[in-house]
Amino acid sequence: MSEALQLVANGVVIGSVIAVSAVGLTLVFGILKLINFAHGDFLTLGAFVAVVGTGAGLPLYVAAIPAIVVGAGIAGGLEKVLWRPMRRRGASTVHLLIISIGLALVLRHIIFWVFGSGVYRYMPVSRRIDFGPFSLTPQDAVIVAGSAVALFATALMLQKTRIGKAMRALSDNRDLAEASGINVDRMAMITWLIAGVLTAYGGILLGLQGRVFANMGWFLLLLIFAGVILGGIGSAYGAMIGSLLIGITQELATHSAIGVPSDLKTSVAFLVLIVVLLVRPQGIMGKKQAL
Amino acid sequence: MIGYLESMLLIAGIFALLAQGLNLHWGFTGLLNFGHVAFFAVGAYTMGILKTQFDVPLLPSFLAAMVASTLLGVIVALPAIRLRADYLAIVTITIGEIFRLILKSAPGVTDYTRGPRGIRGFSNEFYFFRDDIGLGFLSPDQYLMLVVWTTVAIVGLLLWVLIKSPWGRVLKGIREDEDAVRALGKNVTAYKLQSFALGAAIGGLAGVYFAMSIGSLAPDTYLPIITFQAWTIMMLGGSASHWGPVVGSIIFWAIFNGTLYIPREFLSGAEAAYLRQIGIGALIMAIMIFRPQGILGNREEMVLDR
Repeated sequence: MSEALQLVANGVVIGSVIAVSAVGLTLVFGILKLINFAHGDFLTLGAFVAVVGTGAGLPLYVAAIPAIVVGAGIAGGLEKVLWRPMRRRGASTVHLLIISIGLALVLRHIIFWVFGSGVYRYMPVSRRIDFGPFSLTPQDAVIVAGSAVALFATALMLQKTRIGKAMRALSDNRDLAEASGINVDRMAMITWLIAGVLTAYGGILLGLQGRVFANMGWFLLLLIFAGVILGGIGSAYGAMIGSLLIGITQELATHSAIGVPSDLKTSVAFLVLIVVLLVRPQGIMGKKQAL
Repeated sequence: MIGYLESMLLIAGIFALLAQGLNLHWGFTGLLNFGHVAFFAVGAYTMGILKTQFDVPLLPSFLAAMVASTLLGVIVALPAIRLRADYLAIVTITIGEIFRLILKSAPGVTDYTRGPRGIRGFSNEFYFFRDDIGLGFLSPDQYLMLVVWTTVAIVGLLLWVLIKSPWGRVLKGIREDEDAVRALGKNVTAYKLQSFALGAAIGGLAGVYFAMSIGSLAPDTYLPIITFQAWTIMMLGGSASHWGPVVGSIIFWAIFNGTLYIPREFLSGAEAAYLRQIGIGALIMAIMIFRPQGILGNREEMVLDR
């Protein structure tokens, strides 16, 4: 039992990282119908900017600021020079998807080129603290708390602000939203900026586990997809729940009673992704007509 | 120069074959397959395991490799093919990764695949065979090159005939408008399945040749980047063009291998490797933005606008 609790705790930690990243991905999909394969590399970028900051002696919470600014800047800049012109030319979902795969390769290997294939960290990971039935490192605790704050803020933004309402409206019914006077290009830019902030932030949280390396975001990408699709693509709340479930599932799979080797735990999460797509492609929270 | 040409044409032939399979999936049927590397791997591994651990002769092991990749194609396609295009992309890339992880570390499977250490010593019989058919004067690479390009020619011809046939017209119809084809009473799923299985078999055969060319098998060779390279080649040459994979592959590998000759003083080996990947990504983006139909393709035959 205690083993299971510990695994659930680990799952919540990784699930929290996935959730922050997944919300950005799913918001972009909801508004732009783009499945962004470069999303994982946005994560990596955020973590590396933070590493540069901590390497220069800044505390992490200060180094996070330039990381988030760069994340939002790149996301917004790409919307301006790449995605908007492509949309104007009537590019389809598939067309944009293939472009994002090229973009992912470019971004990731620029990071490789600059930082090499080494593993960096912000700080040494501290010893685990005992919370009774399970133990976590202080970094893990920061990940969970930091993710909860970001998710809560996102939910608040979606529910209470005009921008949030416009985003939900666009994602629910694009034509109707456009007809009621919502400026799609402006909303697309705002969505990208929010996604850029969330993703860079997610990357910083991911790096808190102690390993910042050029492939980190790419390795997480399929898990993010799994979280998004399990929750229902386009639904921000679904992405939060789906990501936590994915995190917990892949950790619990390594329980001694189940016995999946830890090298294979991500394949369990991938399997969940495939099964969900086959059985209930709209996910937990998604609506059938959104498909 | 001869050495450059030989190694370039060899790898170009192998990837032309891989891209031919992909072209059947995407170019002619409109299936967004981003897990093509799985077929490449299953072909290579089936042949390698049969040769080294069960002492199966050359031809049967080649056939078994194609059968195994066909089977994997059917297994992947049966559930996945009903999905919308972008979901199919996610599912196929995921299956490719699951497959690599299983080859690398699944208990039971690693007894045969030897996990990350991989398999060696399966290629002797293939290379010795050239003496038996009187081609002993060729170097191993030249011989493999001849075999590969002969296969590319045969597969190209086969695809040309198939796509011209009523079967091929149904595939193109599915690509253009699935519902219309269904309304005509065709079993769309069955046609997609056949396309997927045949393309997978071609990919499996390419995997066998690839394994022969490098002489060893290791799970981490089969990363998604192989799929992306095949996509780049297919799109560069032109999807839905019969010459596309050939032209695309030669251009791609001429450039790619050319960068191997950049002197180390300018660029370290690792930097050059990263630069090549950046180049592949930039090429994918450039083709999609400026000329989605590639060099030889026809804009009318692109399914991107739907």
